[in-house]
Amino acid sequence: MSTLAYQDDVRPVDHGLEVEAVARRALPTLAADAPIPTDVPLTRLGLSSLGSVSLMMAIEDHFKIVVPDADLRPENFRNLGAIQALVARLLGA
Amino acid sequence: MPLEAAAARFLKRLNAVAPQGFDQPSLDDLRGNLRALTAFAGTAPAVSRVDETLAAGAKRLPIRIYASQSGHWSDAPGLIYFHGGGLVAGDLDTHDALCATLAKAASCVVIAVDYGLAPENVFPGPFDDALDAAEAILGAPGRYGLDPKRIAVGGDSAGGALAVHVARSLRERAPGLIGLALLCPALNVEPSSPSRMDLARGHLLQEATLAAYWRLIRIDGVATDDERLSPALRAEVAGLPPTLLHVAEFDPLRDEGEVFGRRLKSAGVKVSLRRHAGLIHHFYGLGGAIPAAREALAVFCADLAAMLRAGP
Repeated sequence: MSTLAYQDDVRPVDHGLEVEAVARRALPTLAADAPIPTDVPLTRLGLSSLGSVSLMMAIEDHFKIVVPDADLRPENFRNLGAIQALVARLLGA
Repeated sequence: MPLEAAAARFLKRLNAVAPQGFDQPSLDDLRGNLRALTAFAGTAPAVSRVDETLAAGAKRLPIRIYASQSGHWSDAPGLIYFHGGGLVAGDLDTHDALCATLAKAASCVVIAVDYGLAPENVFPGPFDDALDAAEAILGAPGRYGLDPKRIAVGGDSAGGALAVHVARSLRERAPGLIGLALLCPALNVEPSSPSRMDLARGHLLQEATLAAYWRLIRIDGVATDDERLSPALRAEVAGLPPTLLHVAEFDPLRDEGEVFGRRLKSAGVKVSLRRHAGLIHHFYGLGGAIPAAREALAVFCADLAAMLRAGP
């Protein structure tokens, strides 16, 4: 049987959840079950500015993408929603 | 060569977010930023770690003893180590991965000293702590399983200035230190060298940060050419033990390290001076983000192992 027959069942990967999981690892002071709101600055959730560099590189490594120089702007990493939007755009999703 | 690719990638991302207080850092910024850099250190090798306190002069200082083997050891080569951080930041944890790597890769016992930081520990407090700690360890080598004839002193960045001070102060001691090991040392307060001027911004260690260190350390009567803070300038260096000195091409502190190395050579001191092409300050703490930094640190460790093996 061809595996192609199953393709219709494959759901698109939810990159948003993956971004949240990577971000959570960069927020060690956040309780494991605490939600990460998409619109709250990550700095308010305990992310230092050097932590955001670490997060940027973790996002790039995880998704095997390179954030172009033009997108290396603090606003693209300000909150979870901004990072999710950036990743979606760079992955062409 | 240009900036190494991973170092350039790291700097580009760092400069994009301009860490808090990069231009006018407060004491909290300086301490917090050094702590946050540990996220880039990479995985520390498995070594034995023991935390103790050391009776050093009138103080008790925390120390952490690293050994590549567990259990008991004796007559091991040793490195007394002082962390960087401008004498105002850093602790045993900020340099834990580095010290573990030094112990493992150079097959020696590393004793990291948590000297008191300025400004709380008023100048020359950090220098006094470093010397008191070194004398206490050298006075009881058996207590730490060390071969008294194979003990070196070392440090990175401002910890390098502490190590130089200790080595200079103990030149007459017998048995003396077998070596001085310096990683990107800070050896001149004055920002007058080409590397300090050319690399003043955007290369991790900002000139603004160095200026803030100096403001916090400074007390009345201490000049920028003080020979403890600026031994690259005029300090008498004849009689220093063999010295290992590694600098990074894109480190503002590169020139003061190399000037110091040349002064040692002309004073007849055996010096092994290396410049790591393409790398930046604190490369030895950035192995998680910059693979080439791990390789450079491995070279330092190999040189350190050879220095400690050489014997008196």
